[in-house]
Parts: sequence; structure tokens; C-alpha cells
Amino acid sequence: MSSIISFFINKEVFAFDTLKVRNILEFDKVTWVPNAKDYLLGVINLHGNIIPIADLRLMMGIENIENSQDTAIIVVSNDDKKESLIGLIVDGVKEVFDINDAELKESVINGNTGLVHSFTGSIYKNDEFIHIIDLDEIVLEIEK
Amino acid sequence: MIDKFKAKFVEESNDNVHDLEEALLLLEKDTSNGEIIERIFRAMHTLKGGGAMFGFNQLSEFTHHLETVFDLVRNNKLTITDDIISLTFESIDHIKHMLEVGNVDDKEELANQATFIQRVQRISNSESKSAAANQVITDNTTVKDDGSKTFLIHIKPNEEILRNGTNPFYLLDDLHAMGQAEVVAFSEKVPPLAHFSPINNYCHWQVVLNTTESVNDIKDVFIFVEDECEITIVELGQGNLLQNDSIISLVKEASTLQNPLNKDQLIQLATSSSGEPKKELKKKVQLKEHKISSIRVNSTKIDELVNLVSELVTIQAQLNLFAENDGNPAVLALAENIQKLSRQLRDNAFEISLIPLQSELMRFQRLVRDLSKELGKEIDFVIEGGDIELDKNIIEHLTDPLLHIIRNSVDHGIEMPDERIKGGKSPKGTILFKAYYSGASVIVELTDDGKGINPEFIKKKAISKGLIDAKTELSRKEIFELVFLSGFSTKEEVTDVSGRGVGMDVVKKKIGEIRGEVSLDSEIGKGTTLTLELPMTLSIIDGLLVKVYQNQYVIPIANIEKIFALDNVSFGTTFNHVVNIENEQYPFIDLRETFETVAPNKGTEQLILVKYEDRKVGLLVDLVIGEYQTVVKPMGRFLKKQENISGASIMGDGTIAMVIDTNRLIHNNAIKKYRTKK
Repeated sequence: MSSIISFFINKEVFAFDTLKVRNILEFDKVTWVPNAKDYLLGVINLHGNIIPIADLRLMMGIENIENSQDTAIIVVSNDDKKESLIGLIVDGVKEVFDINDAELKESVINGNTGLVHSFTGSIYKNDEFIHIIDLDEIVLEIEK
Repeated sequence: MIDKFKAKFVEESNDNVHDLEEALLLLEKDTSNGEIIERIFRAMHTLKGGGAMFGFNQLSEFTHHLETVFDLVRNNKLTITDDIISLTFESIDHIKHMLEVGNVDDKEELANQATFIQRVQRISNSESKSAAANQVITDNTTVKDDGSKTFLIHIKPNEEILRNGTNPFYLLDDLHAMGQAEVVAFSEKVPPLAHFSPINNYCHWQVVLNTTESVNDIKDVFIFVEDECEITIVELGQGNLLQNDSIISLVKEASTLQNPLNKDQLIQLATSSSGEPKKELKKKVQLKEHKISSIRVNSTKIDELVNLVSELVTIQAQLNLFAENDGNPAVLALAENIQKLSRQLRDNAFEISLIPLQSELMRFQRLVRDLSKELGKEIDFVIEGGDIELDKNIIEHLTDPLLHIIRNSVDHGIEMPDERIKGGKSPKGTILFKAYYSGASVIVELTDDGKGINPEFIKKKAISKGLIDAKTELSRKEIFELVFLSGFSTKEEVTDVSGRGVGMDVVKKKIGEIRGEVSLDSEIGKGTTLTLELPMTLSIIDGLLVKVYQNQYVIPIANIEKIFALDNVSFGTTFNHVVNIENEQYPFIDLRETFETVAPNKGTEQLILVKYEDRKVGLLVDLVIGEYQTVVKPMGRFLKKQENISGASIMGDGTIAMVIDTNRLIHNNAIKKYRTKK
């Protein structure tokens, strides 16, 4: 039994392990950082800490990005250290719910997911598939 | 729970071991210093006692044997030799190991320890025998000597001694148990009944004690009350003076007349009866109460404090901004007061996180000693300015580079003694560690008087490694700079001491991580100096706030030389990024270009001249906003690759300004251009 938090990226539903999520913020102004990767939009000030922001949509190869009221930043940390906090921009946060590990199926993803290749599994719920993204891979990619 | 105490014990023991090492290094230079021997003995004693208490039984047992050796030393039955010091150093390493692993069951380790103990015992056994033999020769002149001595002990407890449950009579009982004793009680201070308080002590005692135990054993009786008593122990003479009738009568007289016994009188009586001149062994030992002048705090607590203060400074800046916009004089006054307080608090908190260099240097002293012995060299490690204080985070980062530099000096710098004599130098080499303040930085110089480095050799080597072109003209300084390039090493063979001789590039990188600079200078036959320039603290800087395109940046003021306002006319004639100001030519970097922002500026620009090594380089910005003292925050691990920026700072209104690392920026730019030219 574990808990996941689901979100939209280009109308598809993905999810993270809730235990890795530290904060959910509205998308607001991001301070641009020079000479960084394209999908690293910059940094924000979160309670006095500097948090880098990466656009998960860009990372996943989405081309026509539109920001709306729903656009959100999910702040995650894969090892609980302050210096590894990172904010990921998504099209909107959907819900948090518990899953049974038995429900977990192997992810079958059709189409291009850009720099994100690794998933811990998928869940079928309310007539849609939710793909759980492996955070470790994202972190490795950003750090590269 | 017990684990918590154990951890505490290990922490404290490490301090003790540290103290032990330091004392031992001192002892090596001054082998007859009683104070140092006493210090060593105490540290061992504490280790032994604590070890047994917290279940480190093997540690306790081992230390016991070591302590025995030093007990003999402090009782002048054994003289300090090089062997003892070397063995003790080894033992300290063994103690460290035991503190780390606790009790071991491994057979090999146990056997190891057993042989170690034997070695220690051999010293205490052999030497005590010869010393005992000596003792007999010197002592056989005394007729009635039975190996015992007679002491006069004066116990003067404080009035408050009874309040924490100490019963002085037990002390007297303990003394009685050591041999024959006569006690004289003095009660002249007892007040009339109306003023008498039953919880106060009004008495003091004199004891004439005959015992075979040593002065230190007598002192141990008082070990738990030494803060509450004034204890004087005087040796009256060899043998049992209590068999002397005149002394007995004097003691009786003292008791009835309440007249304190006088040591001179007693010694006189003793000598007149035995005909032996007696020396006073111990001077008056006064044990004063000691005040706690420092406390031990976990370093994470200090980090937390500094973090909180940093946040407070940020919020306080927001408050100031609000108060100014609000215009309410009462709010303004309050904001000003809070600003004053938070500034003081900030200075205080940063001061707390500073620690003296000395604490780290001890290890290097040990390192130099061990390495030089191993290599058969004679080297003095001299420290100047060990009391200079630096942020503990900087000191932590300094250990590895310093280790490397010192190893290099010992291994490659200082020559073998015969080689030194041939070169007209004293056979003993010196490594000088010198630290001093210079503006907002601390300079650390490491100088050895070894054989030095030949610049021509470095150049040839760099050419052969393909690091520079054979035709390149380089200044002396530039040549020495080559040493810090990766892939450069001056020593061919691999040695145990400094690994592969590589690593000056690593030193430079490590020092760069704490925003420091490192440079090298050397003279053939005279020696080599490495200079480290370090910031005093990592987390706060004085900066100049500037604007480039839409972003704000902070440039550390320490690096800034001058600021010029320029209109684009003067740039119209620039060629290859060199600008003409006041008849001087300066290279410059356009920050818009470097940061790859859109739309080059067309209006007025400002040029900030910053120092870079021994040159000056201009940085082109849109606008200088003003001076700003700021807390530098790390950018996290995902932006570590971003070398031009060393951190970020949160402004009063919550927005972020990035701190430019000018040295890296200029360095990276120079390299980039060099490459594109190729």
C-alpha cells in the first residue's frame, strides 16, 4: 500500500510517489539563471531557500506549452536533503490517493516521452491509465 | 539511552585523545616537564575510567597498562625516551581505533592487542626494575627506612562542603586506611550556638600520615572534593616519624592548644632525630574551584542558528522596505531598532561559528612528525597565527588541501639531512605555517626551506605533457601557475607518502570550492611557498547589486576595483573586447553576451573593473543599483555545474539576485576564447 499524487501533462495523467513530494505551489515568476539547460527555467525563493525549477513538460518533449491558472510546481526531493529539492512544473495537479501494490501494472507507453523513460508502473483508475514516474531518473537527468 | 551516553563518551574521549596527542608532542620537546606528564596521565586516567564505565573494557584495560608507564614516569621512576614516546603515539592510534570499533571479538585483533599490551608492559617492567635498584642504592643510607614516608596533610574544607553530601570523616578514614595516621581537629571557627548552622562545616584538620603510598595516591583520596577543599600535602621525611616521641607530643600539644602544626618544626624534629636532611617534595598544592568558561554544542545546532539568523536578516530587510513605504514614523522607528538588533545578532552568530585554525593544525604536526621519521628526514613544523579564526565549514574544507600540500613538502620539498648539509643548510628542515588577516580574507602561507622548484623544469614538463605550446612566452608567475593544471605532476615515481604526486589541481579545485585562491612561488635551493587566500566566512558578503537585462546580480565588493559609466560611443571603437579608459586598456566581458540574454543593450552601460589575479578585467552591466550586504545561499546540487554563479541571495522584497563568482567567470571566459581561437 502506498500513496501517489497524480497530475496532468498535456492531458495525460502521470503520478509521483507522495512520500517524495514536499510542496505544491502555484506557478509564479521564476528567476532566470544564465547558462543553464533549456528546461531549467531558473530558481524560486521558497521560505528563504533557493529551489531550482525544471519544466517537466519540456523534459517530456511537449512542444506547445501553455501556462494556465492550473499550472503548478511540485517540489520534490528524492533523498530528503535540502540541497536536492527541485520544483517540477506540470499542467495541473489532480489528486492524492492510495494504491495497492497489487494493482500496479507494467507501464506501456505509446509515443514520445522525451527525456523521461523510466516508470515504476501504471494504474488503471476511472477509465484512465496513470503512469508513475521514476523520480531518480529525472534527478539524474537534471544533474547530468 | 545507553547508546546516547556511549556516543557522548566517544565524543569526549576523542577530545581527550586529542589533548593526549598535543601533550605528547610537547613532551617530545621537553621530556622532563612535570606538568605535561601530569596532563598526559590525567587524560589516560579519564579514558580508563570512562572506558570501563561505558563498556569499553578492552580500551580501559589497554589504557591501564599505558597509564602504568606514565605513573612511573611522574613518580620519577622512569625517564622519557624516544621509544616511550613512539610507543605512546602508536598506542594513541590504537585507542582511536578502539573508540571507533568498540570491543572486538576478532581473534586477530585480540592477539594484536595482546602483543601491544606486552610491549607496553615491557617498558614499565624493565624500567621499574632498574629504577627500583637505583632506589635501593640511594635509600640504604637511611637507617630506619621501611620504604614508607611521612606526610603532613592539611584539609580545609569550605563551609558548604556538607551540603552536597560529602562527609569529611570518610576522607580521614581513607587516610587511616593507608597507614598510620594522627589527626588533629581544629574547631576554633565554630560560632556560638545562636549563629551555628547545622548544615555548615566549621572544622579543619591536620593529619600526620605514615604510608608507603605516593603523594599522588594521597591526592586521589581528595579527587572528588578538590573543588570544595583546600588541600596541602607536605612530605616530612622518609620512614615512620610517628615512632618519634617528640613528634607525637607535638601533635598532642597542637590538638589541645588548637595550634596548627608547623611543617618546618616537624621536619626539624624529624631530621634531628634521624640525622637525614629531608627535602620538601611537593609545593603547596592549591586546588581552586574552576568556572565553566565554555560549553560544548553540537555543530548542527550552530548551523541551524546561522541559518535562522540569515533568514531573520532577510525578513528584516523586508520589514524595512515595508516601513519606508508605509511612512508611519512609529513603524519606522521599530524597524530601525530591529535592524540594529538583528545586525548584532548576525555578527554574534557568525562569530560563534568561527573556530581557531590551531584545532586542525595539531593533526598536521603529528603528520609531519610521523612522515619525517618514516623518511629519515628531520623536520620542524612551525606554526604562526594558529589563533586566527575561520568559519568551521571553511576549516573542514581546508583539511584535504593542507594535507596534500604538507605531504608534498615533506616528501619532495625538504631534502635528506646529508643533502642539506652539502647545500650549506642546517640538517633540520622547517615547514612554516603562517596565517594572518588581510582585509576580509585570511592568508595562509606554507613555506618549506627545501630544494625548491625549477621554473624551467615545470615549463619543460608542461610542454612534454602537451599542456602548453613550446613557443609560448610565460612569466615566472604564469609558469608556477602551470602546476595547478590537471594532469601535471613534478614527481615521476609513485610514493607512499603523496600518492602519485599529482593533485595540485585537486588542491586548487578544493580551495576554489570555498571561494579561495591558491598560488605558488619557489626559489631553487631556498624553498617553496604556497599561499592560500581564504574568505573568513562563506555565508555573508558585501556586494554590489547590478542589473543585467531583467535580472539582478550581486558582485562581491572585495573584488571590485572601480566603476565607470560609459556611453555606447566609447564602445563603438572597441576591438576584440578591449576598452580604453583613462589611457589604459582593459579587456572586458559583456555579461549580456556571456549570460546569453536576448537583445544587446543600446543605452548607457556601466563597466565594473574587477581584480583577477594580477590583472584588471571589466564587466559590462546595464546598471549599478547600489551596495548591498547579503546572505549567500547555495543553489542546490542541480545548479552546481553553473560555475559563473556561486550562489543566490534573497532580496528584501523576496526576489532573488544571483551572486557572480567573478574569478570563475573571467577564468571560464578566457578559456573559451582561447579555444575558439584555436
